[in-house]
Amino acid sequence: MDLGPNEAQQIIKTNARQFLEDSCTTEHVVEMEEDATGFDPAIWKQVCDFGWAGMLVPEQYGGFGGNMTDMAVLAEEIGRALLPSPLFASSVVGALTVMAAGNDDQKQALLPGIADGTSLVTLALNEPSGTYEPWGVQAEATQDGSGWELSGTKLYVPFADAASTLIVAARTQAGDGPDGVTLFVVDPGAAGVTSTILDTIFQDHQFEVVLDGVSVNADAVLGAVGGAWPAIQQVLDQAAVAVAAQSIGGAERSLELAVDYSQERVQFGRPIGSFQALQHKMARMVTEVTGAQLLVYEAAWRLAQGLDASIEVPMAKAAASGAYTTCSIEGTHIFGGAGYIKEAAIQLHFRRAKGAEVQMGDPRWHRKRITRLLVQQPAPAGH
Amino acid sequence: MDFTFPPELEEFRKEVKEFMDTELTPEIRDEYEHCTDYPHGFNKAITKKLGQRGWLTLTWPKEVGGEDASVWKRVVFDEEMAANHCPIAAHQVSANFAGPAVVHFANDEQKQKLLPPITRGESTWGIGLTEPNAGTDLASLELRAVRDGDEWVLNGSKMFTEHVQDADQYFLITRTDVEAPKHRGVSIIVVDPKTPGIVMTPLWTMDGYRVNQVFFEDVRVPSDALIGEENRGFYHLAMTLNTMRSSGLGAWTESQGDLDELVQYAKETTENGTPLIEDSWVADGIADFAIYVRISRLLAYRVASMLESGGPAPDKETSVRGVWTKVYGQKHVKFASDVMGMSGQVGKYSPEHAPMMARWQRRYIGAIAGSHNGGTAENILNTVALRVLGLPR
Repeated sequence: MDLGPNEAQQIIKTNARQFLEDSCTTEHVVEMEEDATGFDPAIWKQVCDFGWAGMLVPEQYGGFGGNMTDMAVLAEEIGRALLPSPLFASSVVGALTVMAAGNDDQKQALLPGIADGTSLVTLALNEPSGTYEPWGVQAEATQDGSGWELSGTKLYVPFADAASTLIVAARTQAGDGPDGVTLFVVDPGAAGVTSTILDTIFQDHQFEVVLDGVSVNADAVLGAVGGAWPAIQQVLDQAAVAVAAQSIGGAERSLELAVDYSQERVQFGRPIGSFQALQHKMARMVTEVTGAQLLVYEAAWRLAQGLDASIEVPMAKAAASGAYTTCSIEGTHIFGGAGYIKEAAIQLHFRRAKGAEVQMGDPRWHRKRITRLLVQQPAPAGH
Repeated sequence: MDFTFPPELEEFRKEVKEFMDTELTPEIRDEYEHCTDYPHGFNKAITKKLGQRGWLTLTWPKEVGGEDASVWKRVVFDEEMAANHCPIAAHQVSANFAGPAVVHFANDEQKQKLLPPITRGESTWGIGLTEPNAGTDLASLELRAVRDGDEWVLNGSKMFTEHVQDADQYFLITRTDVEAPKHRGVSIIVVDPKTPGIVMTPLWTMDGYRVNQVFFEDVRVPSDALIGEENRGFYHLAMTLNTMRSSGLGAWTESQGDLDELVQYAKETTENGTPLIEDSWVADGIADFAIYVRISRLLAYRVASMLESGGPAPDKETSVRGVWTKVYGQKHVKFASDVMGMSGQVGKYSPEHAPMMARWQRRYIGAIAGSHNGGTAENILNTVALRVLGLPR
């Protein structure tokens, strides 16, 4: 049993840390929040050259052929540095969706571009309800000759403006359940597609995408008509672990920032880090992040091994979101007024933690999933 | 990353499970639930049987009767013990605390005398650390040991000692130099608790267990009662506590059992026709409890894998695990008790009205003991702040 990154993953981690410390500074993150595109093409090109964009893409489609444990390790560093990039949207969610639902032609068409970063593929799944349950997909796809016509409002779609391809989840059959959900490959420039940026707490370029009678061909369907939900569920689980790993990186960084600041900042003639009230906060922070990190690694490992991870994934996401929330809120609090200022790295984590908490399922929803599984367990011996 | 439990130990796990199934008769299980002399019960017969198999001291070196077994083997044994509520609490003290101190610091003669009975499951120990004026500030202890010829003479008292009333040995830390700074005048002395001059006064805890205040009045013990170096006892003790990193790594299974029972209870118990589990507060808290148990397991496995790999000592991981158990464990006990509503207050003497064998009344009271017993929650938070995070004093 070895509960941490292996040697190759340590190298990924060290290299990523070094690159991001140099190029993805706090100033850069602050600047990108106000940037029209939301990320720096030069940095994006560099990380694609490192192979990050193709981390999960199989080698036959031009990727690195890594698994979820590799991605978890990389995601920790990305979460730590708060790298503004479409990497999660396209290279995790986009790539996994194509891999899970697409046929070989579609994979050939979409994956190499994702892997080298020249195309950006983003999933339009959520709608105003914000749920990750099948009932949340209510956009309609109606048969139109041999093709389909799509209408509805998709929400929280990351990088919809920069994307070269949207993958839209819509209903080809009315209902609330998993049956009848279909994925469509849609050109974001097609007639009837309107994208409007959302004002989110972390300004991370999420969009409302309104589809008003958007026509697509029959071959735009990714996977089986009406049968996309199992693929979506699989992608959501993997993506939840990637967000959880980013949250661990962010939580660790929040803790470090707080620990460092509390040793520099002197009040009442002593570093504030010598006060037990703050020490105990930070001791709790490190405890929560250490425990949650192990859960994230376990979930990632199970997914990578193809083992059932139906309880580990929600546990990992709920725990990691909890740890990030604790570390970033307490961390910002320890900075006092200095943490409230735009240039402070800790406030970025404070806001990002809220975004990460609700991304790929909030803790309440994940805890519901856990209990649902526990209820199905057989009664313990003696009952 | 690899989260596979060492597969070669599955046979051993089966063997331990079979042992528990056969040997833990209802009467012996009852010791765990109802024993009043020992928190978590003590059954000498079962302890001896475990000793005969060599399971009590698996990781001890061969030359002192151990098996030099891997940490994982010990984890398997501890997991099955905790999952089955095996009542050998008193022996845990000998095998997991006093024994390792003797292994590390005693001379050969003392080892030959003291260790084999522990290995065989035939020797029970009490530990005397706490005193009326030395709790969290343990180094302030005042039990005086003065050398007189080839004897030590002890005067003073120890507080809250469990298991000592019919123990075979009593592990004491004593003050042997009053002039030296307080950490540097402490020595470990092992005495027979039946030595003349030792008087025990029982103190009964709120959940009905016996602990003792132990008085020493001109108690004379031979000079070879001293374990390790004179006046280095406090440092020996710190090292012994370090060796305890490998103890309790299977204890999470007890929480897992508690959780499984609570889930079953919440499924079976209805409120005006609706199962409790459908209450969103109950459902949410149960999931949180399940996350707590899983992280407890992973933190234990992390420590075990680091100990087994022989790399850097898992000091950070052990302290963090301490905070997790001591600080974060409490709220789930309160939660479970709250889920039970009125019946959460009912104890073991009204079994027909006490769901889950009154376990949660006992856990509820036990949790408040756990928050200070063996070091306070604040103490372990301090340790993490100072030693893990390097914050200034």
